[in-house]
Amino acid sequence: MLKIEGLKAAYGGIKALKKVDMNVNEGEIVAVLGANGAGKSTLLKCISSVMKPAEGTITFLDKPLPTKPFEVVGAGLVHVPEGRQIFAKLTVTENLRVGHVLRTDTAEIKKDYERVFEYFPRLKERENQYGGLLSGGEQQMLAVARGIMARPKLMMLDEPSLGLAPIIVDQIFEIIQEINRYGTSIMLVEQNAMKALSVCDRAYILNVGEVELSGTREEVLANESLSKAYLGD
Amino acid sequence: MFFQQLITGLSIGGVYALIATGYSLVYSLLDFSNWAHGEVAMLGAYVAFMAISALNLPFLAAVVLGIAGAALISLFNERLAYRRIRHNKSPNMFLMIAAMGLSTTYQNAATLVFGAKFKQYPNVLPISSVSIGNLRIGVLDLVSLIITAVVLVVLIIVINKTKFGLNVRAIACNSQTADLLGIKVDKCIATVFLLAGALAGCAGILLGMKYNVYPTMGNVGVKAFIASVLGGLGSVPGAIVGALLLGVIETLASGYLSSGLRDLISFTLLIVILLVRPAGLMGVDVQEKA
Ligand SMILES: Nc1ncnc2c1ncn2[C@@H]1O[C@H](COP(=O)(O)OP(=O)(O)OP(=O)(O)O)[C@@H](O)[C@H]1O
Ligand SMILES: [Mg+2]
Repeated sequence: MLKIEGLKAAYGGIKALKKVDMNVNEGEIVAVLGANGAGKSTLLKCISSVMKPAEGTITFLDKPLPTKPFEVVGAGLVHVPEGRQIFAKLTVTENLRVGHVLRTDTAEIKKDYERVFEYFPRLKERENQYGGLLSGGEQQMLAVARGIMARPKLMMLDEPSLGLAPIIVDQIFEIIQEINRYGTSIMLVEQNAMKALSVCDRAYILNVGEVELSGTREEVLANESLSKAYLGD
Repeated sequence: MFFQQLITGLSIGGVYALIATGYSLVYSLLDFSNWAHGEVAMLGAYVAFMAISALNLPFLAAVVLGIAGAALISLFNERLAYRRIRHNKSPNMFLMIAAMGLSTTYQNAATLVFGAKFKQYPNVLPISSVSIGNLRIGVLDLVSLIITAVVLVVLIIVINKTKFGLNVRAIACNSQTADLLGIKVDKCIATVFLLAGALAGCAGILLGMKYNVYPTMGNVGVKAFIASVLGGLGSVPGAIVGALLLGVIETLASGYLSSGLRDLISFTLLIVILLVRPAGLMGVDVQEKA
């Protein structure tokens, strides 16, 4: 459903993506792994159109990807950004309302609220609390929940496990699989390679702006150099 | 005496609030001090004046034109200058400098086109004051107070209860994420400039009715700035509280002390607030925006 060809991107003179080809098929969970500075977040920013790539094409559902962020969201592609980026001075409910800003299907939106509160009962309890007053784990839940409210066809998550206790990480990853079972394809950017490889169908390893390795989860797990570099054994 | 002063103070404070809320909204979204905002009020007052004197329109039609004119000028400033500066990712200081440039340009252009002489609206109020018991209250003050109260209540509802208001507050919190989640950020900002301009136009006409219309009347923007700092920069309720307080303090100071002390007291208040309680009375955390 998402097809990236020859993507290059730079910040001023710094080349962050050198030439990336990648694709995500309907229904998949695709992990994008790589060390700090590999270009993972840059890749997601290019896809969600908040950053202009220097070269390359991105097609989504057989159409060229639109160039304005709200058009990308409208096309069914949502980016849950790195570092949660909760609206600190909006309540939990208001944060979720921003998530469905472009939707008009009221009845379906209501269903998604129910779904989100079923996934994250904690958010229901804190409905009227300011986003900025939530704990880190709760903020990450809210960031994912806010993404769900857009009811995307493809959800891109940037390091949802960042800075969270293992038990919360497990919870978040379970919900990610749940979202996927509901029919949303997932592109999962992670530092926590082991964890990501335990839930994904396929994976890409980025190394300083280039795809170093890609394949099914089994293929990637079987790769020795990768195990040494990223999985620490 | 005190009660009369209070009504006058609240009415002038209400006019400050019309300007201060727009100023504050823009500040909350774009993090810069829009020094051209007072001139938008001035131009609105002139548009209404010209509609009466050159086009012979009835007063209410002129008011509508004045408000619409101010709204469009405010939007024009955004499209001409602020949007480009934002899209160029220039430092925020550029926005403020552009605003200062626009402010001076408009002031001088108004002097050139309309002359420095005071212009007067026709007298539309049948009586100038009413007596309640032994109080004499200016009708213009009352009318102004009622208009501003209605407008500000509507504004607060729009900001807190509508989808547009939610989008504005989301952009104020984190514009990049608002953009990422599908909010049409530029469109929202443009609408806020229209809205702020309309409020300023309304204020300009009310000021014109009270004190006449002249090219430097936009300096009232400084009062809006003081009011916003007083209430808490970037907060709409803060701007309203700060503006009403400033209006009352100024009026009492000129009534009981001397009218020459009015501005001295306003600016002293500004300095004290900046030193003692920089987050303002309503306590919005200014740290977080930086
Ligand atoms: N705003 C920016 N300005 C300049 N350079 C940037 C900017 N953002 C990222 N970079 C550079 O681009 C490269 C790729 O960064 P990116 O954020 O995509 O990495 P990442 O894979 O997401 O890393 P991490 O795992 O640490 O989040 C890095 O070398 C980084 O220094
Ligand atoms: Mg990153």
